[in-house]
Amino acid sequence: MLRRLLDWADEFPPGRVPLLLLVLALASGTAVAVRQVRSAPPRFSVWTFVHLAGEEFQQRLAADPAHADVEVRNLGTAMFDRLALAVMTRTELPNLVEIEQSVIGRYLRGPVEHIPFVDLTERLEREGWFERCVPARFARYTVGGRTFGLPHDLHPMVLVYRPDVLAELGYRPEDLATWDDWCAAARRFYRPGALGTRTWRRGMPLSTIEGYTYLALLWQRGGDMFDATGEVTLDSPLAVDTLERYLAMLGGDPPAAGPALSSMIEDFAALSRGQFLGLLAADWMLAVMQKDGRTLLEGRVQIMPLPAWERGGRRTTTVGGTALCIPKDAGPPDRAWEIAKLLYFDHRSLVERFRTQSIVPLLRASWTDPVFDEPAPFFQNQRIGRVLTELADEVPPVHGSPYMAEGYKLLDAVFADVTAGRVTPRAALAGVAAELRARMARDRAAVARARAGSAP
Amino acid sequence: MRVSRLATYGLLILAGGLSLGPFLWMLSGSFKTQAELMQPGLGRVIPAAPTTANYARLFSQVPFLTYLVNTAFVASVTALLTTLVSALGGYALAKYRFRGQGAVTTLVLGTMLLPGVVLLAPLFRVTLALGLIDSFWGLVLPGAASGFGVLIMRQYLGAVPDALLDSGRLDGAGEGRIFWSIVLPLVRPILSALVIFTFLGAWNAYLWPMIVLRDESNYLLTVAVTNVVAAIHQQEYGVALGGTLVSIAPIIVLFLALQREFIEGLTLGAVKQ
Repeated sequence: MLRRLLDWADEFPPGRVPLLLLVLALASGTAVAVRQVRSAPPRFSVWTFVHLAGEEFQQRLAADPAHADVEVRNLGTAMFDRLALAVMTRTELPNLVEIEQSVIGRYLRGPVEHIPFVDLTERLEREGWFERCVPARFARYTVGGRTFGLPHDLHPMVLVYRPDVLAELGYRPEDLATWDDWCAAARRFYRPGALGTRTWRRGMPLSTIEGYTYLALLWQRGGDMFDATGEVTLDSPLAVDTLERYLAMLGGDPPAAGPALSSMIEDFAALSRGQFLGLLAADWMLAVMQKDGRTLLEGRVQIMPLPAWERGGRRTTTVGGTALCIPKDAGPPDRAWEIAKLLYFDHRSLVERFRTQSIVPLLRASWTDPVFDEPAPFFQNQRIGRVLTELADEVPPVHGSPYMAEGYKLLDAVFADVTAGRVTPRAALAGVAAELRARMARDRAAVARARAGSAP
Repeated sequence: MRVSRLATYGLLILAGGLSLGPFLWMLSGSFKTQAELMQPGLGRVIPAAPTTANYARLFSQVPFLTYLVNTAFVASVTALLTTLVSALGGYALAKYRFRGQGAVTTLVLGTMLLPGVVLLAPLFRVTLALGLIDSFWGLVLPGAASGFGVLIMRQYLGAVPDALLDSGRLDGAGEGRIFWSIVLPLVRPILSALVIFTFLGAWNAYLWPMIVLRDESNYLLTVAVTNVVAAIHQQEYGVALGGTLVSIAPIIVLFLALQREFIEGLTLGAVKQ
């Protein structure tokens, strides 16, 4: 039977393989044709790349019949490419889109009138949102004094540590008020040995190949890659000095920090074995720790504010963030604005977001909710919500720029050379700053030429 | 002799191990619990407490069979259409003489010099204008005219003796009949290779399907694994590993079943007869 079938297949002029695929195409095509029913496009669409946010948005909107026509789409990381294409071609745009802070820069380039998102500044001022929230968090989504994104998250950063290890070393958390204090403790904690072996111990992991932790520490100190006017400040004396002190932590004798291990879980494991004295973690990383590091760290760790750079100085910094933006060409923005506020500032949603993702809200009124005073068993019943909200007003601004992503890339490209001692911090930061200024000058000249060309 | 053979096998086993390592890790990881996957280090090859829960979640929470059927349809139609168009184009360039033949060949060659990503925005506009967004034809049609396919077919079809075609004409066969009944059977190995090659490419395509397809029920496996599975099961690596494995299993089976045809096509003409 099989032989006859193969013989018959051999008579098909292009051969057996195309015949096999023809059969597959007919069979799958029939299944597709039977199934396909085209649904009408939604009247109002919201895009996000975060699954939990998508689910939460859907639940919130489903509770209100007035928003029955809103479709929430969780597109994962593919959303960024799809949005770029939609903006470029001005087609198939969502009415509202949730954007990650490191990505928004690419849309903020050029004259303000060319930015593809609705300017929210007046709405935010008129309705008092700058006062009702922590204003520093709007800086990331602001260029030329105009704000284009509505954030919801604070993302304060803290130190996660094992109280028993710290006590054994003879310290209490309040003894570690400055990074100098921390470094002194970390140097006492240090044990030599190759990373990953049983004997080594380091104060905390710091990246030797990416600049993000350095930037977080620079933000804590009041520095930044760009200032509020958008000018590059990465080569400022403060930025250079911070990088030098970062290197001193990694390379002192003995060092106060070690290179970050190959993954977050390896860092968790080292903390659980008592081989790191502490780990830097933003609020959302505490949720990841509770999920992925449960078997390693549950009931064994607590959090404390970051040591300050100077006594009495800022005790936190920030990492990460998302904002809702309204694409200009997607239609009238009023409804999108109302839905954005509903999704990001609804009290129940904010509380739930803290409960499931440890994300501290930006909205001051929400911090009085009892959820922030609940003891967290994972953290030895510490009230981590209160520790985090008490740091809220110290969260530093991170200034937005169209060149933000490029700046990160340029810094990452040179960072391994800096930590390996092949380039000095001053030369490295000057190089990155010069390149950014050159790109900005080139773009400004292009805009000026275009404007001159279109002038009557 | 024996030593060199041992060295050869040793190297091949090492290379095989390096190639298979990630697949084995993926297979093993898909049967591990989240807690075991989250242990530091590479972990055990044989799971400590094997579980099929990742697959159960994959198939209960994600319409994986739908994505499989979509992918099979798009990949098979793309492979067939591309091969047919390539064979027709290659035949015309190899066996017919017409004005501008050289220019057309250069133009076809030129399409291969442009990186695909450069064409994304204009291709998107055209696809949109044709109303093919969120349609499988928006995936199939842009890839149907492949410069690579046309050129490779032209190369192989050039070796078909003109005398055979002439004898067909003398027997009264039309041009279509000659192409279908005389020419295609002579180039079966390269047709098989091209059809498999295109099928694999279409099965694994990600960027264009991700841009064109909107409705989740139209997703292909690559887009579904990256977006739906990864998005719903963020940080649940066992489910993501299971999804990836299920998505590549059919083409591994297909390739193993048809590898003789594929290799034949690729090595055709490698040795001078």
